[in-house]
Amino acid sequence: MIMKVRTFKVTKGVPQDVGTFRKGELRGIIRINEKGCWGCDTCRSVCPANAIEGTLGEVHRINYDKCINCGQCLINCPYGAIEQMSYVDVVLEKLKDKDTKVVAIIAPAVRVAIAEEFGAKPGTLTVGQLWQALEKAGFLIYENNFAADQTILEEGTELLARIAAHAGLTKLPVYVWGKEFEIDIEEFKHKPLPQFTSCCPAWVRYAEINYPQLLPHISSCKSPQQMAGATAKTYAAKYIWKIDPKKLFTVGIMPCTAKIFEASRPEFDSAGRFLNIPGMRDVDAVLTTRDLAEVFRRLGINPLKFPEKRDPRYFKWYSGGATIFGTSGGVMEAAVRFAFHVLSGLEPSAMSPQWDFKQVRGYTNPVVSATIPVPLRPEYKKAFGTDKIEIKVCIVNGIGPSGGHIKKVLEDVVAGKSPYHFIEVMACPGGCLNGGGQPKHELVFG
Amino acid sequence: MRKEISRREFLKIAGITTVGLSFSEVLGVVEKAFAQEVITNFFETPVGKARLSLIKARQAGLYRDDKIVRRKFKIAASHENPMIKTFYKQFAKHPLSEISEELLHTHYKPRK
Repeated sequence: MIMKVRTFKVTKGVPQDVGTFRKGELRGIIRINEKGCWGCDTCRSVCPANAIEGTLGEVHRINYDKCINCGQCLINCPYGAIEQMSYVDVVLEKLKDKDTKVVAIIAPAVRVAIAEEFGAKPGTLTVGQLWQALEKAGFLIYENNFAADQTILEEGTELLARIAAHAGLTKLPVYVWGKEFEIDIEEFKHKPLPQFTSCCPAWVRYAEINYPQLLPHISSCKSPQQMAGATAKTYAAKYIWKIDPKKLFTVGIMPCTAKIFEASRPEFDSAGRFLNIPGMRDVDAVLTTRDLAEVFRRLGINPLKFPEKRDPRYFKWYSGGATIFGTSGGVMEAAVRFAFHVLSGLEPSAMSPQWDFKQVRGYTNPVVSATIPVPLRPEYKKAFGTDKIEIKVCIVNGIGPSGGHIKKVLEDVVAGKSPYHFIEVMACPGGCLNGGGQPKHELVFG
Repeated sequence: MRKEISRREFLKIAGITTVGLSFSEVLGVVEKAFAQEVITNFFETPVGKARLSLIKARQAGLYRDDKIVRRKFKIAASHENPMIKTFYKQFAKHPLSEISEELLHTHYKPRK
């Protein structure tokens, strides 16, 4: 059974730097309503960041300086006492405004969960239905899966640059789309291995608070949501939609509460800096999967009433690798698919099992590691002086209760004895599909 | 003032303990209470177990989408996305280009 999650209206960011918050960031996205809390301790038992205070029987409190906004406390609270900051009213206003075009940036995990809010069984996949429902509501669509593909091009190339630089190369030729471009990788000598993924804003904040010495290991790539916002207001506005970027209002539609925080980080005004429009944000608002269901309900739209038909154009195009970003191991598998192609020069047909790297899938294991042998194309054989390389990867499937999954992996990196090239971290167990913004189910304890 | 336990009271407590539970059983109960605190694997916690079927159903949905995209649109890997090619050709040039650095990359700061 789906449970209602109470929300409260979005507030302003903090007026100046305070505690672990920087000027402009949203503080207190998730809050415990003390009238509803029975002190059952469930929230504390699932918190990855030790941010919940209070013992059994006491009203619990969130320590916001430690909280990473993942929302695991919220989706698991048996009493519905934990509430979420919401942009629903803001987005509904913008949809009514004739002068504004509202852009929906749809995360992969939303498509396997939103149907639950309309009575379908868990895992029901809605893509064409979701697109049509959003268009009916007045949104332009920018698939976050398209942004996931952008992420892989950038983050995958960054990984190859780090590996090549540490192997002693100074230039990296990259072969893609039948072309060659050369990247100067001198600066990547100073970027350490292993490289960590940066898609998950709860993980990024966890590292910034708890492991600042590891920050140079984290990919410099923005998360897909932030790439989408920045691209929508620059490239898409000018080349595709032909609209004044000031008239665009970008909305992340996310399975995640940490994305609400992420969009408020002060540095994410890059489109505004690029276009010289001060004050313009890359992502203007974020709706959780639950919030989007509420928007649909208020507009009298049921996505399940539309036919499941797909008509990909422009930013609706996405790869298979992109859509699995929403599950643990998916970012890794997408990156490995791309790296495999670039390094080997091979391009199997789309359905070929050669594209399936099942050994990196997180499923319901807390940590997964794998070694991927990749044959090298002739140019790289010469450059690396070997026939094939082995990419060593690790997938952290949720930070785990009090850091239970991730601790050993991070301590090895701190100690300089981590064997990996690339480590994926998702704060929520199972990946984004089990995120704090997803439909909330009544849990049955067996 | 220190409260003395009378001989009768001592026997009563000892009796209850030995009748109800053996020593190893008492240890077992204590251990279990502590085990609740130290399960480090989310999927083995009571909450994790209660969420398993939901997590598996949604995961299956995304792997189904991977197969649909590959079958219908022939796009397995990110560089095969036709709009990605257009984006780089028209605008960003190539991964890690100057435009990419400006719009698609960021930096991190310690928060202590």
